[in-house]
Amino acid sequence: MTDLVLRQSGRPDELTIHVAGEIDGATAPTLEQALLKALASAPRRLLIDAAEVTFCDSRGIAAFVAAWRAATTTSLSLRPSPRLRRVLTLSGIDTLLDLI
Amino acid sequence: MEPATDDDVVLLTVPADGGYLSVLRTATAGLAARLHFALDEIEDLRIAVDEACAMLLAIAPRGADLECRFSVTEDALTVQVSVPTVRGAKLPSESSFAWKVLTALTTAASAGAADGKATITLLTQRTSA
Repeated sequence: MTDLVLRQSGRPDELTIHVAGEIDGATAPTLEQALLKALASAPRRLLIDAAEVTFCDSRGIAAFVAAWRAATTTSLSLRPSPRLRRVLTLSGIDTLLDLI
Repeated sequence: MEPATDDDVVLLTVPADGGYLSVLRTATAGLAARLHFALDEIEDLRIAVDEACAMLLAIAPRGADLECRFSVTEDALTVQVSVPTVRGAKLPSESSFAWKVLTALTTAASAGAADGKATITLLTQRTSA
């Protein structure tokens, strides 16, 4: 069962990772690995376009927080879907992340 | 929080594996929609069921089943999820962050352990008219 779809676009120094579908315990590790891999090349900017995320639980939040910790030289921003924004707000993580 | 005897009851058993939680979330959303829960209430309950199941999966032995009992009344949905537990395993305490999330997302949440099984019960009452 694949509930999460990931796609990368943009230039090497300005990357966008598009995230669509459901982020839970089964799919969050895939997301976290993809985000950490993209950050490993130290792009100047990385946008996580999560406008099509339909579900996110605490494991999903942990994946986004892991990316934030790893983004030491990268300007990282997140475009959440309304549902994802609600989850981030409920957990208080919205103040930590650069939401657009 | 014991459900009344004349409730409609839906039973769903899936392998105790994270890959099946999306099935339980879908069933939860479908039943909550039947009760005309608001979209935000459905979403909160979907997250609560997912988080409760994740807590149980962490203490279930390999190859176990996750049993889910949905009890439907006119204005409330009670979801009871249970798994057999590995010896000595315990659910997070009710003061943990995970529990605070469950109680924030539902009307009432409780946990129990008996006969080698751990159970989490979530009650959500419809707030909208």
